[in-house]
Amino acid sequence: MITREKVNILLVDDQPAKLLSLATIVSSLDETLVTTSSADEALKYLLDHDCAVVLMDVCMPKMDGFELAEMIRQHPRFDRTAIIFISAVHLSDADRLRGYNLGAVDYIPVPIVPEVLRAKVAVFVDLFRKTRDLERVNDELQERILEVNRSNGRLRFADRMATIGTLAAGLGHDMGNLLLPVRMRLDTLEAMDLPDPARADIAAIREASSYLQRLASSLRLLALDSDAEVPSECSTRVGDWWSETESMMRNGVPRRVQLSTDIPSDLRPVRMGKAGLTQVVFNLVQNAGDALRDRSDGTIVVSARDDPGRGTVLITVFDNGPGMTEEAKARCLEPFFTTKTRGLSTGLGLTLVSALMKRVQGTICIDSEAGIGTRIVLELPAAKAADTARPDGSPMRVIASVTLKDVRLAAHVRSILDSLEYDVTTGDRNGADLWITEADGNGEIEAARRFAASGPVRRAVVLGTSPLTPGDHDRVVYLDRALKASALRAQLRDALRANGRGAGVHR
Amino acid sequence: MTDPSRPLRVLCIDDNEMVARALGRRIESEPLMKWVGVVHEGALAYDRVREELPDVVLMDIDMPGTDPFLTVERLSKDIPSARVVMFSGHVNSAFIERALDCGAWGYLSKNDDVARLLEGIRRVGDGEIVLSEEVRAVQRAGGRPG
Repeated sequence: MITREKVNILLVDDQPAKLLSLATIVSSLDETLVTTSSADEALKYLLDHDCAVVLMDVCMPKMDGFELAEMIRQHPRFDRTAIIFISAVHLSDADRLRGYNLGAVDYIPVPIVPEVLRAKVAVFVDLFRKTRDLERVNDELQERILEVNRSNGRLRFADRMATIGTLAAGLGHDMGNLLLPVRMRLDTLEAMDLPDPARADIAAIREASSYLQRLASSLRLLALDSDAEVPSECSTRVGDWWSETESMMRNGVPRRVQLSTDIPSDLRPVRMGKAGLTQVVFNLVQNAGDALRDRSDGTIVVSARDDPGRGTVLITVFDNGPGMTEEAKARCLEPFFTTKTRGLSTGLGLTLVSALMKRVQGTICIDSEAGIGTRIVLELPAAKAADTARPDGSPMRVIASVTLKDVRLAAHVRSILDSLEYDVTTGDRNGADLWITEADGNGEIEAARRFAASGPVRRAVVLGTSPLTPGDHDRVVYLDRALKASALRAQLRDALRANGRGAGVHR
Repeated sequence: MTDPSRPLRVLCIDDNEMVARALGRRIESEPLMKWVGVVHEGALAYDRVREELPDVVLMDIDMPGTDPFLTVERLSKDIPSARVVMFSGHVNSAFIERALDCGAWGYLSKNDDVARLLEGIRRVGDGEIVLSEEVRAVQRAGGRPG
């Protein structure tokens, strides 16, 4: 919406009386009038302000109107400023011509006819205002076009990623499906009485197929939706993950580039899912590979180490490429920023990395020096120790005893407990700290209460079919045995995590 | 629990001929397992299980025509002695959850080691619910079910 803003009209005359009369004539236009009594003063004002019209006397001491006009016209900012000369002396055709040549829009002789001057100034003020409004609309349009282009770019990128994702997932799945019969046939062959050369052949095929198997798994990881991974539930062993994805990472860099690793086997697991971790590191390794494309001595090092003080694990991707410029370093996480040829790069890789890192509350630190290389350090929170530590803090696994008649329900409960890192025994509950049992009436829940009361950390979970009076013991939990498997898993997990606080009837 | 001296009878429902034949050949060489055969169409699975009464049924997920989970649900209600285990290369939390809710005895990934697959089949026969390591990882990472 265009609103009427006042514009500036600059009046320049060394004689105060004439200045006053000019001001009086144009004052009824209701614009901002600025009066200056010399060319110098006028220039000073113009340095900081835009003007719609400059009304200037030709004849002034030191710098005259012609000189002032020439200086004004040298500056592109005043392209739109209308200059009107006023003169009582310089009235020859040559003077007028000089004025117009210097860029004046009008040349007005004294005596001035007030209505005429006012009308002329009004036309140029109007022109200035319309031009300025048009420019603003134009700027806005440009900005909108840019935004549309940006969203188109994002859409194309998302589309491309979705296509690549679908392709990678399909490929990974089909490869896996074909490799399974290959691996099973190899197993069958290996069990046979075969001569040594044949065994060597089988070993070679096994090696090749296990490489392909890893490739297939990492293709599937690359395509998995990392948003589905809940960081707090994730615990990825970096060493295991790397051996699974290494073959794909190697395929992501040019052939001549060396990829070496330094990942200790005793690292603590990280609180990030495999899919997210794969997507982040694959991006960084690919970038490093791109930086080394033209080098014959290119090296990428992927390393990891624990930072127990900060409770984190640091994963570093280093390349001895040309390094980043200060600008690239400052802007590389911005969407669409890229130093590569479009087509090779979308400029979204590091933005994606940065978003994935934020999601898991990790950080990314970029250290790069021209001529030395680039080191990108990911700091990931280490996964917390299992929730099943004893209340006294000891990491010992808790022994759980399960006595349920229904075979599948018992198996299911054991499987849940196992996933929560309990050691499960069947039958004897004497050595256990957790007892999962069943009851059909209030009488049978009494045994569970007695069990919970018999030790400081003992807890019991009762599965039943009929509503029971809530146990008055805070370490006895009642769950409905008719719950679906997934709901039972969720409720049992929540009840056990509540660690004896506020547990009651869960239905 | 099944009688340990009696071989575990395994039936496979999978439309992939190569997978099924290789699996059959491998299982045949296991002393304590017996290969009952393969059904290539999900729609024929229920009748075949009813007829053969296997101990363990390996059920592929990605088969044209039928919803394998509905078959699992029917089988677990009507023929609980035949323990159905999902057997698939597709591992995602929605499938895992659905399978267990329908009464499956586990979820084995086709990407697992062959030895681990066989061990998994054995454990199902012993009355355990088995989940491949990959399945457990997805189940953990996928957050709370339900």
